[in-house]
Amino acid sequence: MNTDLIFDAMDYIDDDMLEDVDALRTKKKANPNRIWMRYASVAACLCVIIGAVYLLDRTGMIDTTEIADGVDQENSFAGEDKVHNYVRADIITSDSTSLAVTDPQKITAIYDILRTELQSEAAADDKLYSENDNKAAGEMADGNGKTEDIGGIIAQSQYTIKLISADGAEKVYTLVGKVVRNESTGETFSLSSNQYNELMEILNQK
Amino acid sequence: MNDAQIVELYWQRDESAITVTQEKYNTYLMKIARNILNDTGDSEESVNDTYLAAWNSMPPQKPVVLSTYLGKITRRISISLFRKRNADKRRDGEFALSFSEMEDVMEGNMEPEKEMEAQILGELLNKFLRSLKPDERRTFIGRYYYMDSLKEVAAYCGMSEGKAKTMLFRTRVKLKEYLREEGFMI
Repeated sequence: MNTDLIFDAMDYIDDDMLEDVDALRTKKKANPNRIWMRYASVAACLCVIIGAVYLLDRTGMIDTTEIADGVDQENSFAGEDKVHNYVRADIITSDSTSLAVTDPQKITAIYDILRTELQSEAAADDKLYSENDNKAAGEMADGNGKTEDIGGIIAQSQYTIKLISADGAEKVYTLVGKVVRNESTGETFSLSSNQYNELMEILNQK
Repeated sequence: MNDAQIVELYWQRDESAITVTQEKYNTYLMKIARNILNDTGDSEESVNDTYLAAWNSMPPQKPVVLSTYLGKITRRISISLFRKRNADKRRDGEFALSFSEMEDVMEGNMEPEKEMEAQILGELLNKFLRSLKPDERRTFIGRYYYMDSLKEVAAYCGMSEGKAKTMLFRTRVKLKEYLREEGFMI
């Protein structure tokens, strides 16, 4: 029967395409309770901090006026001693081309992507990559541009995103992805999550 | 234990290879088998046959990603078992649904001069799949290779069921046209 034939033919689908889908299928689903607990614990910490700052300010032990002035809370990240307002994002791709983004809305959108724990996501989810990829991904997470050839899969690929503040402070993030090399089609890059697509949409917006 | 270490156990003819494989992949393989067979007993039989096939094929095979390698074996055995057990009657399950969806693609007559073998068709399928956008490819493979339900495919592809259903329909239409252009359908 013809229909039987096409199902048999699927036995010959190349492994890299199957692995791409399998990574999505076997990705651990987020436990909704864990997500809520995480947000609840962050909210609780913020309440404690705000309460402490308020009390200390009331008693005159600290002056909060300098921190509150002129800082855009949406486009900020905490440095070592002060909050920085970032005004530029440099996107450095794996083939060394770079793109500077200065539109505040785009920077906010990119920052939202970076809020997820990218490195811990890759390290903690053992179904996201094979174990060899996990090892390579862990080595990539420190920002070094290293490649490691594993059975046709180049485990490295990263978008390094450098946020630059108005006062020159820099904060570097790394999006770790996977590059698959196929002799007939060359190399394709894919991130293990939807972040790659979101990032591409942001970068391609006019 | 990583895949390379497990494969090494097979190569050393260490029987603990099967136990370790079972611990790591039994749930994964049972899912594939159940999607096709819709029966726990038959699925267990299929997965057990997979371990035997794995033992007999390594060496000389040395797969890099064991889940993909074993998944192919389970899929093949499960489809074969499905056909054997259900020659005449219909059966519930995702494979039966997938099968009926795909009948529209292959409803034409094959060229009488050519007997299309699965491997040749498989090469065409690879070219076709690589021409698709990632979402189209992933939904197709999820539904017709892994036999996941429409709901599952939509969930892990990050789209609604309606969108996935439409996408699959359009992909089947494209595949039918592609096979016709390649001269394998009339």
